[in-house]
Order: sequence, then C-alpha cells, then structure tokens
Amino acid sequence: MKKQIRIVGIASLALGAALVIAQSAAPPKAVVGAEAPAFTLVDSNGKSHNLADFKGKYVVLEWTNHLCPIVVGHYRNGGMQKTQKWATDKKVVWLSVVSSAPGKQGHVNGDEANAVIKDKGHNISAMLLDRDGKVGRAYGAKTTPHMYVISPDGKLIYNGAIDDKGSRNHVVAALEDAWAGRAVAVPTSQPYGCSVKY
Amino acid sequence: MVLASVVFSVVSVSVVPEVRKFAPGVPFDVAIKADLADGWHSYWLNPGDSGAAPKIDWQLPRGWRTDSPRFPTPKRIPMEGQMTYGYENGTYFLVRITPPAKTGLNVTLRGTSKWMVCQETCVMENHGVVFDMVRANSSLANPEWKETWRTSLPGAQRGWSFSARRVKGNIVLRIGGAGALGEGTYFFAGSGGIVNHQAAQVWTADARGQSITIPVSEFASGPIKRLRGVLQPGNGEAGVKIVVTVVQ
Repeated sequence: MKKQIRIVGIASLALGAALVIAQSAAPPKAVVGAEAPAFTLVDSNGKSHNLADFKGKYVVLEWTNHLCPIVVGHYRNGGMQKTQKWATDKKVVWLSVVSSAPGKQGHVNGDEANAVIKDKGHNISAMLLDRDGKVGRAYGAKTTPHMYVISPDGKLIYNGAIDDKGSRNHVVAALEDAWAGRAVAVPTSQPYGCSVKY
Repeated sequence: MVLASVVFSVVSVSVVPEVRKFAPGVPFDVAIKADLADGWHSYWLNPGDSGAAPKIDWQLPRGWRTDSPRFPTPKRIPMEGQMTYGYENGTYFLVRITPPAKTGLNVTLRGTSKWMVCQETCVMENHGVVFDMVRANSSLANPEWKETWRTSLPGAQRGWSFSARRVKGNIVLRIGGAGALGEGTYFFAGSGGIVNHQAAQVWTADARGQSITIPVSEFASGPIKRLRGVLQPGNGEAGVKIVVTVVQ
C-alpha cells in the first residue's frame, strides 16, 4: 500500500513538472478574440497607464524602435503619423510601446522618448517604456512595427503588420470594420520589420 | 563593372552582367552581389519572423524591362528567439533584363539596391549599381559571369510531384518521385503568415512515400489555399521550387 502511494506521489510530481514545462513553452500571448493581456506601464513623462484605464475606448498598440530602418521608413514618408492622427482624431487611444532593453537599439529614457515624439511628429496618446520587455513578451510582439487593436470591451481584434506593404492599412481597416459592426476581415497578418530588441 | 558607395560599409555591393555586349531584344541576367561584414546577415524574399528582403529600384533608358529578383535558397538563421530566413557573409540575386528592339549603341544601366542587414542591430544601406553596355548584333559573354549563380537557384524538379493537405494546425506536404530527402528537409514559404517560422518541420518516410509536417503560422488570416516557396532537401541537394494547392 505504502509503495503504491509513493508511486502516485511521483506521478503527480511528474505531471506538475510537465505542466510547468508546457507553461514556459507557451507564454501568455495576445490572441485575437480573447481578452488583451493586462499591463501597467510608465510613459515618457513618468505617468502610469493601465490598459483597464481605457475601457470603453479603442486602443492601438504600436511596438516601435525609432532606429529600426523599417520604422524609420514608416515615419519618413509620414504614413505612421498620418494613421495616428486619423485614429486619435476619432478618439482612439494610440500607445507606442518601446521594449528595447537598455543598451540595445531603440532603447530610450523618458527625455529621449519625448525628443523622438517631437522630432518625428508623432500624433500619439503616449509612448510607453517597457524596459524589461515584459509587456512585449506577454503580447508576443515580434517586430517593430507590430500593431495590436483592442476593442472598448478589452478584447483583441487585430494582431499583426501595419499594412500589406501596399495600399491596405490593416489597422485602419480593422477599426473601420469594427465601427461598422462587421467582423474584422483581416484580424491577423505577419508583422514585418526589425526584431524587437528585448 | 563595379561598384558602390561605402558609408557604413556593412555591405559591399558589386554587379556582374551575364554579357559584355547585348543584342537588341535578347534578355540577359545581371548578378547583384553583396559581401557582408562578419556577424551580419541579409534576408530572403520572405525574411521570416523579422527583417526585409533586398530590393532594387532601376533607372533604365526607355524601353528596357526588368523582371523580379531571383534569390538563392536561404538558410534558417536563429536570432534572439526568432527564426529568420536569409544569408550570412556573402549573397547575390539575379535580375533578368530585356533590352528593347531598338536602342542606342552605348547604354548606361543604373539602379539603387537597398539592403536591410542585421546582427543585433539592424541597418539599411543603399548602394548604387551602375554599368555600361555596348550593343552588338549578337550577345558577347562576360568572362566574369559564373554560370553556377543561375544553376544553383532553386528550380523545378522534373519527375517530382507534390500534394498538400491541411490537418488541424499543420499542413502535410507529400513529395512523390524523389529519392529519400532525409531529416531536416524544410519548406521555406515564399511569404509570411503561412508557416510558423520557428517551428520544426518533421520529415517522415513510410510505405506511402515521404512527407513533411509543416506547422501553420499564428498570423495566418483565413484558410491557406496554396503553398508557394522552396523545399530544401535534408540530404543537401539543391532547393526545389514548389507551388501546390492545399486541400482543406
């Protein structure tokens, strides 16, 4: 009897280990249709923002690295600023997120972030500093840019690239679909750009 | 037949046309070659999880036409928890150029090649390519041209057949008519949002033939109707171009 119990004990330990492995292999990620991962981050002015603060509004998250050549291209042609203005004019909350680790390409402190915002003419609600990359990893942000759109009820409705490298802007299209009460036609797409410098 | 601006100099670019003299209306290939500084890499048509393929914008005389670049089979290059598709050290791509039926005796062909290259940091470099050519009644080969640039590009494989079927989160690609391709056989999808770039693809051989199981991308939007890309056999043979309909 005692022997049997011991075997059960080992088996449950093994199961526990398997669960831990399964969890570490599949970190929490942003999934379209599910609740967007919660976060609290400080912006370039030291103000704290919690995703829950924006309940009732559409939120766009833009992973960015101002030195990444692909990001540079989107700002040099003015396309990203134009999309930001279009969205924020319609009361969308636009949060740029910097997950570059200290010492890596695109890392900024608050003052540097504000200089980037001014220099590039960002039309954003805030630039959030994700120094340890925790929020970026929680979302599975792969590239700069990598875009997410969150509905007023906190659900993720878009995860992917800013555009199709042609005339279709996926973020604009997702918001327009949502406002018209349609299902988002392209809810995911392969993001492209530089890897996020965690 | 060379060369390029050197500003940051991660990339040095040179151009080698297939012919020294061109004949009106007769197409020829041009090799755009790049050498990269140690530790840097450039990208394939589909760069994988991050990166960007090189591009070339041509400024050609009237009537001259160019086709899209053709790239060698890439390698998988892991990068900080991601999987990218590209090339380390040196690489090249080919562009087919077609002169018009009527053209001047001497022409200068110009383009700007754009290279995104990364190690931990990514940079974009622009390199001009310029070369002069002379018209003749028939083409004259350029001794600097290496025919292996063309023959080693992925091509169709005669006698091979492909079929693909969606099975839950995977696409099973069956390959008929080929010898044993071996473990490590890998399908490079020609665009993003098709294949999970990071996931292993498992090769199996049984009585029915051989197949690889390809995990689908989390960024796939809607059903994947077609696989288009390059199959790199695990046995080291040259990459094979594939276009196959996916049965749902």
